[in-house]
Amino acid sequence: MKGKGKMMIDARNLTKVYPNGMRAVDGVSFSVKKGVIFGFLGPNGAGKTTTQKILCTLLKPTSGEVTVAGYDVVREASKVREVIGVVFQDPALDEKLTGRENLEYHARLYGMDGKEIKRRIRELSEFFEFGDELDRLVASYSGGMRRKLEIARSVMHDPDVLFLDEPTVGLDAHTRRKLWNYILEMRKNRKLTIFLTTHYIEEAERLCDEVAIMNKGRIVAGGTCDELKRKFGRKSILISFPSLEEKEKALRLIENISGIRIITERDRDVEVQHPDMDEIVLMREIQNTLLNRVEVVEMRMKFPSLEDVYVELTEDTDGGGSGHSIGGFVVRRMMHVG
Amino acid sequence: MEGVCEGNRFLRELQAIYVMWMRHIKRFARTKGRVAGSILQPALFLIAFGIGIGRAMPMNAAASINAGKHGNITAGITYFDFLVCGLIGMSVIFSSVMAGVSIIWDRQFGFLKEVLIAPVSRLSIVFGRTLGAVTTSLIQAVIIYTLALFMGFRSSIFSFAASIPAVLLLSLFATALGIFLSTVIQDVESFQICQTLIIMPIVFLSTAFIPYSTAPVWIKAVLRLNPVSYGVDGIRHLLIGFGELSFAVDVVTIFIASMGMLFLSSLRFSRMEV
Ligand SMILES: Nc1ncnc2c1ncn2[C@@H]1O[C@H](COP(=O)(O)OP(=O)(O)OP(=O)(O)O)[C@@H](O)[C@H]1O
Ligand SMILES: [Mg+2]
Repeated sequence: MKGKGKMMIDARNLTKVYPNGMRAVDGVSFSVKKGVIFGFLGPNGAGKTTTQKILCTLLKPTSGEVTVAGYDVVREASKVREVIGVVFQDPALDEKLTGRENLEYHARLYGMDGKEIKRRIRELSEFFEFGDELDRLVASYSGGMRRKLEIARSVMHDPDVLFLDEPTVGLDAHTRRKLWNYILEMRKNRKLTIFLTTHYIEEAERLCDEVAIMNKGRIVAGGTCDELKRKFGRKSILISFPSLEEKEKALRLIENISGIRIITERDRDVEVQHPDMDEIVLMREIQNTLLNRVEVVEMRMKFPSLEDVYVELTEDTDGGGSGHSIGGFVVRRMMHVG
Repeated sequence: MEGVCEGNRFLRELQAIYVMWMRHIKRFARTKGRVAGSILQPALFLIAFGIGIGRAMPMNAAASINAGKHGNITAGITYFDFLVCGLIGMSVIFSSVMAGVSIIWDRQFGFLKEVLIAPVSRLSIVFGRTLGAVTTSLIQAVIIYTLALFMGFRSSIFSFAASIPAVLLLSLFATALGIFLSTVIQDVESFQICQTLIIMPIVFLSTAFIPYSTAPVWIKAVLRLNPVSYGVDGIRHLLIGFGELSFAVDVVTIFIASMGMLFLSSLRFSRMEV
């Protein structure tokens, strides 16, 4: 590996305009450190797949600088190809070959020899529980089986950087969980760097050390899941009361704090928010209001889920002034993601 | 990193050629319709043209008109003999073009992506695929040749062996043309148009079915412009010792045409994106 520190993926002002004029990726910058699992989130059409295709040398960028493992994806494409493994969003198997042939031919293209190939296929077959399905034509496979085969194929040659575009779509819960464990294990053992595109927030939260959220060709936020929640999620305050009577009493008092919003009110719990007040200040305000008048079991600050953040950041930002300012702010922030 | 150091770069390219070759052969063998079709189609042609029309008509009857101009016409060559060579040419071209053009199906089914991001030269990919196409085309040529022998085609196994290089060159040209077409047309639908506008004409407007010597002047010009004419004529020279164009010109022309087409298609394929 050469230069550029420990960044395994580094994109600077990456832009892709398709021949039909569609600006699918619009000046995106981010970087991923070695050994990190990097989650790439965003709504349909955000430009995630286009970005991944450029990173794995399938598409040429319109402008911008992109390196993978220190190699330029345009000028040193063949070097990049040697060290990456890829699972595409759409299937990329040869249906007229058996699963085993798909794995073997892949390995041969990556220069592996026969003995090594056999060993690796046995290893992966055991892990993914392929059994004798490997010797059937792919055309007869179920959707989940195809996906598993593609994932197995992407790691056949032991890559340094793995690109996974929605890898667990169509997998059952059991297989998905197994795959998550496998991904975590691979990262631990081999210092593998993983670029994971997903629509499942849970998947991102479980697996990813860092995430970037893309919307309309731009990255609108990036950082660790916690950072994002802290930064962009609107925190709320959750108060629990010993009885319904106490709660009713408290509600009447709290309503006097001007501007306060009651978000949910379930059982003996109340969740409130204030659009213009810092949560700490609001908490103290509530405390002062209720002190010695209502009995409170618990009062705590509640962080939003990554999903809340995601939805907030990727809502239609066309007309909205607030969305825009978030975008502008974040793009600057993105410079130090990774 | 296992397996991908500089040292085995060459090995990797060889393996890539092998993989693309093997894959083509396996796919060919597993597509039952294709195997059956590749035997039935020329067999049908053999029967329809060979027995129906051609057999009765001795070639030298037609050729004798031009006997003065073309001293190289061997007596006793029938239209059937003439036709068998043309049919071998036709089936080689059809199967080779199809093999080249099948890249569009790879694109449609996604497998092309896997090939395009492999750490091997695109030249090796093109070469391996071409080798596969040439192999299956040769098998078909053998099948037609054998069928024809049963139907009275007069040729020796030695002349068939001698004609193999010409068959290979023709197949090379057609495969490269197919690969080139696959980089131009975007989808399976437009392939139909290609078939009618390019593939059919290069076969039927060549010396495969039209005897050059007796063709009208303007047809002669068309035949002369079509590289396939030289390929088929070359096959004829070697297979039945009968040709209407100069053998040297045949060889040089089809060689240049196939190399040029191979260069062009490799160039386009190496710049291909998905
Ligand atoms: N080959 C193409 N030509 C023109 N436009 C394209 C092409 N491929 C994608 N696009 C457009 O580029 C934009 C981004 O597409 P992309 O596939 O990168 O989105 P995505 O974030 O992966 O979406 P999804 O979550 O649905 O997979 C979309 O508006 C899409 O219509
Ligand atoms: Mg996508």
